Amino acid sequence: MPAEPQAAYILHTRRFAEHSLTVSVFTQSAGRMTVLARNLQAGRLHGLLQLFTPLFINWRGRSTLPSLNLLEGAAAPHVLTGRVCYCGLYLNELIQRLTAPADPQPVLFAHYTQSLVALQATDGSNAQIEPILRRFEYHLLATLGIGLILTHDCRGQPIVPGGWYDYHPLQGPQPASAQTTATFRGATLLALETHLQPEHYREARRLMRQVLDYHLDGKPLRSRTLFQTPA
Amino acid sequence: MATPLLQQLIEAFRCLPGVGPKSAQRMALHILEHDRVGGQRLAHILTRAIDTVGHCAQCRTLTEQAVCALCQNPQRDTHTLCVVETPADVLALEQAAHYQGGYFVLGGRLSPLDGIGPQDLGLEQLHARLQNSPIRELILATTTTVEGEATAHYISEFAAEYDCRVTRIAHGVPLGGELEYIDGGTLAHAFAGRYDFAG
Repeated sequence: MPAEPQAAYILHTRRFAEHSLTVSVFTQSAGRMTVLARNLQAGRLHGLLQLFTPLFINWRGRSTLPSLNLLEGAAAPHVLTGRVCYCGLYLNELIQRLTAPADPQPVLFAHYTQSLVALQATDGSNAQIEPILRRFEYHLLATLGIGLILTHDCRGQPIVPGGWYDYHPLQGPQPASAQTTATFRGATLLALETHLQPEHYREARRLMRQVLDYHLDGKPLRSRTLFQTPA
Repeated sequence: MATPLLQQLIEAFRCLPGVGPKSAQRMALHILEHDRVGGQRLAHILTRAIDTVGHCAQCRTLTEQAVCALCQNPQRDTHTLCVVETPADVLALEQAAHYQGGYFVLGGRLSPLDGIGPQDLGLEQLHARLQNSPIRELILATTTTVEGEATAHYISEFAAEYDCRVTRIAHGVPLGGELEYIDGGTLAHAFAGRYDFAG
């Protein structure tokens, strides 16, 4: 049990019994963990047990499923509506799938909070949400120690903006002999490191998808299906 | 020490929600020691229900008929359709609200971390329903969680191409609720959704 209440966000809840939920939380200093929220007859707590709400929580017990014993709202929830909400669900799925349980990730927590704040301020257009998502993915991979290599190719040569590269998830960019549907412009790689412009969005998305899919062992992210046009 | 068959029975009870090893053991022992007739009835009905209860072809609620009694009822308004998550929601609304329209049961809500995407909610069927019958109002009565809101938004996006009014159930202060005890999120929603008061 931590000495002080921890800043946290809820990633996911699942019903455990009639009045209890297992809650997957992403905490500032203890990383991602699962806690048990009991005695939820009082409707008050259900209102707080929502995604994208800054919380202070504490728990007790050393088992794999400690009990939540403090739950307080830290600030007003980030209101993500429509497509922006899908983005929030996407971030949650990335954290749930890629971070290890009980692995403290305070830097990633800060990036997550920043991303939610930034998402809340958008109008849901691709132009506004793409840079936020790419930035979060970039920081996620970096904090997990599997960051992208974007300034040098696998032979140690600096990336040339006009060049074309294949990207290997572990070795990084490899100069390509010709442009294909699988290659990336040097300019896109460099922009991912610094600042993305609209002309980079499509390639940057393809690159991130390729790398994330590699680290997700090819098991697809379900939240991506939300962005596809309904049948 | 439980015999293998008794052990299997205890294990089988654990498939029920909220039933742990202790409760399962109590149920198994109760049936064998005190209520074998009740147990037999349970086994019989359970087998029959699992064999015959399916989903209504129109609204996807649970029924042993091809089309449920509610959808067959000529008194119901066929121009209004209420989208809910589970058959339990249909029962709750039927008991509480004076609602006379039809239902559509999604069987869940969009929740990527539970592996539930748009293809799991029978949305093609809802599409067909909107296309083939003259729906004037589509009421989105999914839960007021983030996932429920995402589901409502997803449906409203594709319902926009049909000529129907899309409404969302109101959420806010519960009846008898005192403001100081209500969480910030609920209160913010209630405040944002305030309406003209005619007294």
